[in-house]
Amino acid sequence: MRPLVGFFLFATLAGPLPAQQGVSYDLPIREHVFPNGVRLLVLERPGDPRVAAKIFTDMGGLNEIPGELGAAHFLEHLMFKGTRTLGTINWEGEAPLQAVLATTEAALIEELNRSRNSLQQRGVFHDYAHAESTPRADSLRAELAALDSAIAQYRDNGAMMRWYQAYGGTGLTATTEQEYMKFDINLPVPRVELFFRIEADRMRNGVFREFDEERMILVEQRLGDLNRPTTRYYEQMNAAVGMVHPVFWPEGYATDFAQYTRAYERELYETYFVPNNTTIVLVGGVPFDPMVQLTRHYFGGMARAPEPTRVRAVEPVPEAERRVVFRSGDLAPRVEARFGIPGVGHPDRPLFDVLLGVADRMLQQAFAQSGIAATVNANTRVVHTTRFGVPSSLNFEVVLDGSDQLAQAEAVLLRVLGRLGSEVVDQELLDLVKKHVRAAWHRLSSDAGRLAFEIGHFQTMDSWRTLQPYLEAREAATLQDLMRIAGEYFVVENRTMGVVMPPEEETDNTSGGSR
Amino acid sequence: MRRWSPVLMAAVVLSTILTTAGGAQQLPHPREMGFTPLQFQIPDTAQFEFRLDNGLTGFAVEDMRVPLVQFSAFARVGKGDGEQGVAEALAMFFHGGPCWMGPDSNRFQNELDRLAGELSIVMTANTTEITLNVPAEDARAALRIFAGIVRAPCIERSGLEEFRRRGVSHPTPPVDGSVEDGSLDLAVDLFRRRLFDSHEYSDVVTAEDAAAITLEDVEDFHRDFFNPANMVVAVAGAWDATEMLREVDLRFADWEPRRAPTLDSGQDIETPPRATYRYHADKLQTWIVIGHEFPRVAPEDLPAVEVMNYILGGGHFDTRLFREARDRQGLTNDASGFLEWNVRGPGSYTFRTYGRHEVAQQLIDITFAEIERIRNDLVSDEELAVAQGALAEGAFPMRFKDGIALARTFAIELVLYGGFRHLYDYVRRVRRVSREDVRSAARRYLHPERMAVVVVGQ
Repeated sequence: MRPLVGFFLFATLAGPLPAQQGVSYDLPIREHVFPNGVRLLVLERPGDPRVAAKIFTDMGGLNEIPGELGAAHFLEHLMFKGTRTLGTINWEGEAPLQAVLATTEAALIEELNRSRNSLQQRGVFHDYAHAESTPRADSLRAELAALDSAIAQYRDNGAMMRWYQAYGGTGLTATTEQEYMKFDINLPVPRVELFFRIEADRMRNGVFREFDEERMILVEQRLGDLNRPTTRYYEQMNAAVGMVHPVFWPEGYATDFAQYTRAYERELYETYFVPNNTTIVLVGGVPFDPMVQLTRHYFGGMARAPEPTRVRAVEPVPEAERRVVFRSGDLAPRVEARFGIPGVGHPDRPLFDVLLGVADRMLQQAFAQSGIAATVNANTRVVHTTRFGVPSSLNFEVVLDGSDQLAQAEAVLLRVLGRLGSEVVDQELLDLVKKHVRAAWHRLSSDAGRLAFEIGHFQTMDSWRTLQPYLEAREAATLQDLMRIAGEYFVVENRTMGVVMPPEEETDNTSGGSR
Repeated sequence: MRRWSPVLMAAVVLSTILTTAGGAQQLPHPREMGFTPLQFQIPDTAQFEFRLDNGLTGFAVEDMRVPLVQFSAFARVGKGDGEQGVAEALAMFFHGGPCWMGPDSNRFQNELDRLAGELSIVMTANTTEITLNVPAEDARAALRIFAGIVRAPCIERSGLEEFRRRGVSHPTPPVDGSVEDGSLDLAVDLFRRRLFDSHEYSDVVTAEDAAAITLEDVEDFHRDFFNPANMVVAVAGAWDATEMLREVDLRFADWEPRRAPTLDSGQDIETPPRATYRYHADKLQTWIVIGHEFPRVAPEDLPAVEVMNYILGGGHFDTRLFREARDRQGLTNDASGFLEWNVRGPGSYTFRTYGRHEVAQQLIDITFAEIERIRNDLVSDEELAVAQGALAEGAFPMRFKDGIALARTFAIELVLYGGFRHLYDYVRRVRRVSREDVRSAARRYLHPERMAVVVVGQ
């Protein structure tokens, strides 16, 4: 064999970890916070020819109001529509039309507010109102459409993406969840300045073009969600688990989409997309000091803004078991138990990652031995997200082949979870789960983009400084820890049960009930 | 030692901007930021290549950044080779683990679980990839298992019976009939069934196919095609390079060499005149797949096709199809083009989109209009430059982003082309594509007059 000279030998960040002893999670993140509040976090990977770059804004679904659910997600879509410098072929020509558009929309909003008693929802099973619109509202909508058509002559679609792509950008995407919005790109190191240029522009100069066309994209995404029969059931479960906290709210209904206005989106944008609400994360072959200079150059001139209003909702202490019975002919029968769990930043939260794995394995085994044909799905997902800086839920879902064993399945599920709070589990099982948790982290962190996401996500949930202790706390979890948290959290008043079963058979066609 | 050469380049750019931009309020247009084409240097394969005495070739790359190790084995054989269903049956046996662990696949699954390992088997018409990813602490034990899976999977009767129960494809629904569940994946599957219906690359394994397969068929297929002469191995990750090579030698050096098998080329496909095939699904959206076969293409001709597809619909946010169907008209969440090619036979070229039922026809019309436009008109200089930059500086360098990717890329190249000439020449060929080349590629590889339109929905 030929001698091997490793191309990546020099690129050592953390050496191979020998077995379990002495496991450490060395995350040499460097931070610079500018006077205006912009936070820069850099994890250098010397020798890496590329850099994963992300910009996080501390806002998301939590900051929406009922009637406008999904507005944060929609804002993310609008922020791909360009700025005053990108996305238009002639801003001087477009700007006056955009100004008229804003005043016309303001008049429409005024008209709709004036017509409240005619237009407000009064029905239960559908959105009955005394009128569907008003002549003036229709006229203003027509004006808006005409203005949009006139503005279309100036559009340069795709410009926010085009230049990233032209200069080697990959993985361009954006995500809005309950607690954050982020924009991502992976660039060759010599092109990293492009990230600062485009993202500073996006943050400061956004122009919301093709508003109604983009609104329909949300409709498409919603239809895609609704094509999955689980969506409606999970929304009902989320609504039952949380009483007041918006973390449990869905990402918007079609009725919300119709309500969005440019003015409300602009308000969200101007309130939250401010330097003191922004975190930039870079992971890759970039050195820290030049990145501080670039951040200062592109973001340093932005003025600190008033601190955005934070979510004040506090989920009340649970005091009663809740139960959802969901009848569906499209969804496989199932029984589910959800328990409220604390958010990242609470000392118990890392332990739940380990408990999740232990409980999952015990449930798999219990169902295999019970003779009940079942698939167990254990997770911490609420809507799309699996980790929060606020209370959320730990979910154990048991999907069955038929509905005749729902009661038995529920008994097995609760018996196993109950045992976790009263009996110490096997050390070997705990060690195995920890190994899987550790391997999953290493697989994640092998990708610069996913690692950058975790750093930024922890910053929006609590602090980037929490990440490493969080990982270490999972590693340090003991059998007693697991028994303690299971005993403390797997209690009946902290439990929401979900049961999915086939629709009731109709026995009397004349007694109503059909809609 | 830290190497900062790429960073120094960034610093040069930075200093230029800092001295010319003149303040945070003035944002230069990206095209005026002074970026010049990057010279991406592919590492020398000789640094990583090894060859055992039995002819097995591979690549070993030490990359200590994350404590994981990945083993991959690539074979020049796939679902398009052998009797129908045999390759798929073998794939199932690979999932069952090495035969030295016994016929009970639970033992293997438990061991895989103990290692926190991830095993994947990916088969195309012409290739097979077996990959095992494990924590570095178990690299040695995992390599033994991996070698066992590749060299001697447990091909036995109960497994074959299991394959006959689980490996058989659902029947193809009749055109204009109903399908139980609608999705884009289903529409793609129905398109592929139409395209490869009676072709050796058909994915469909019927009950009759499965019943006709014998253990000897699977064993012969494995012996003939999964041997040192027909495979390339990639080993990469946080493992000392010297030990890595020593262990590879230990696990593979005694693998019996065999003559490299002759592999047939797939027959060409000539699709019929354009037609629409509708399948009813009780869902909220309609899914559409439009396309035809994609013939074998010489590797030196691929860059022009890739540039053309990138501009037209190449799976990102700034294609002609995406801009028109999504950005401008708000009809769909996605409209993209997919080139799926094979080295020894035909592949497919499809355009996939979906939307609410009432816009389905508009989506079809837009797709055909854009296909016609790129066939008839030259693309703009800017479109060409963007596509070239995206491929040469984005997608291509990502194939070398870490040790695992590097080893994998070299191994795939060797399996597909038997050498690295095309790999090293790729960026230059992409940069040389002209506007005329793009139109020429569109005319040669896009034939709207004989595209199948598969519609699943209402």
